[in-house]
Amino acid sequence: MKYNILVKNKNRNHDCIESKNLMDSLSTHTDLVPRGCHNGACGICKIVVNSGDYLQLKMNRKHISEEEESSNIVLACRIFPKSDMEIEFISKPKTKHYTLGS
Amino acid sequence: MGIMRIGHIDLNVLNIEESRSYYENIIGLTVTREDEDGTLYFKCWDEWDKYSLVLRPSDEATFNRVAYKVKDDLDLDELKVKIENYGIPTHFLKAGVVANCGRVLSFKLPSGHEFQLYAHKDFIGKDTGDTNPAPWPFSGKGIKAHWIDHALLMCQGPESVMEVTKFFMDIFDFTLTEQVCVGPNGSLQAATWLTCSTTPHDIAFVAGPEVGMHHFAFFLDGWNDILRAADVMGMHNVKIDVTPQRHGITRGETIYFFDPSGHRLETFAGLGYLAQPDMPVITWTEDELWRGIFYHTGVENGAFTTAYTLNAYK
Repeated sequence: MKYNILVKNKNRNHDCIESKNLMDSLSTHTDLVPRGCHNGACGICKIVVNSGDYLQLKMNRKHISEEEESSNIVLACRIFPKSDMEIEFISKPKTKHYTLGS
Repeated sequence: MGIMRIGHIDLNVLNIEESRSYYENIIGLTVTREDEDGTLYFKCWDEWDKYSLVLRPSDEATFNRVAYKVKDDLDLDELKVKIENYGIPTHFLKAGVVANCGRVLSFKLPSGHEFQLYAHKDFIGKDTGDTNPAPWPFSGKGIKAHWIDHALLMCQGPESVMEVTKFFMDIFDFTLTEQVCVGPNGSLQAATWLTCSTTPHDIAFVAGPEVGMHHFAFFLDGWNDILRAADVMGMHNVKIDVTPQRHGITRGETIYFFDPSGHRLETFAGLGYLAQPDMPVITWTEDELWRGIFYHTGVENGAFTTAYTLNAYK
């Protein structure tokens, strides 16, 4: 089953299948989602789900608190679409530390 | 003689059974111990100590600690004095507190990572034995990783990289093999590679926004094994970060990929070069940094700086 996923901050939408997590589906499109680990550790794919239903795997508490999880703030790599959805990526606050290659 | 090599990595994972299946069937490790709380201990076929990887079921996918093995138990007493004279408090964990290990010297690195040293871990032996051994185990699974080769730890900023690098050189007698120098006149080390053996690195440090673990690496023989490993990953939908490639730094043949909790792993193949204490330090400049990291493309082509495992402890 395929559902239409709108990435609001890019104003682009793509079909995603229910058997793949959103990061695995959306990362096949150029410059749509941030690059990350696709399995929970890095937390780069933190999103707020504005609308739509989804199945989810366990979130990494280092990045997603219980309160956030109950407010539909999740990691895109740990959810699977069950309907059309609108999502929005939440960027990490800028660091004051020099990062290699940045 | 002090530190010989990396001993084990200790991580938290989100789904322990998924991790068990992944490390057994894809990486080719063996579970050698299971605790009642679900913690799993793994060993590679070419290693002889009881385990080299500890995975703990958790609500976090985070880095707990890394342990290195010293040659003699008395080394621990000498190192305790040196570390405390440097200004870092240490404490001994009694034999058996760390599973299957003798007494363990525990402390925090200047970079904030929990670090442990031990001289004894229970012996199991290589899967191929030590009498007239086969060159590799016929019954092994998946990639058949030889051993855990090194870890790369992320430090907050170049100052932290420089401090922990100096600590490893002064206290542990490691040799600096390579460095990335940035800033005015290249005066800041933004990344360093250090060895205590003859391989290009036994540990590495990179400057980033937060303290954590960038990756740890499994050793493979050579380029054909890297190709086969990437095939195995493709067969199992493993998320690959960077496909088979050469590192300029260390000359390693590499794949970066992720485990089921998102911890970055590497398959590192080849000797690289013979590292010796009197080898001139290799320097990579800021403008050729990505050539150093990914030699063929010369650009970042993965999630090298954005994605990594954070420290479990603040």
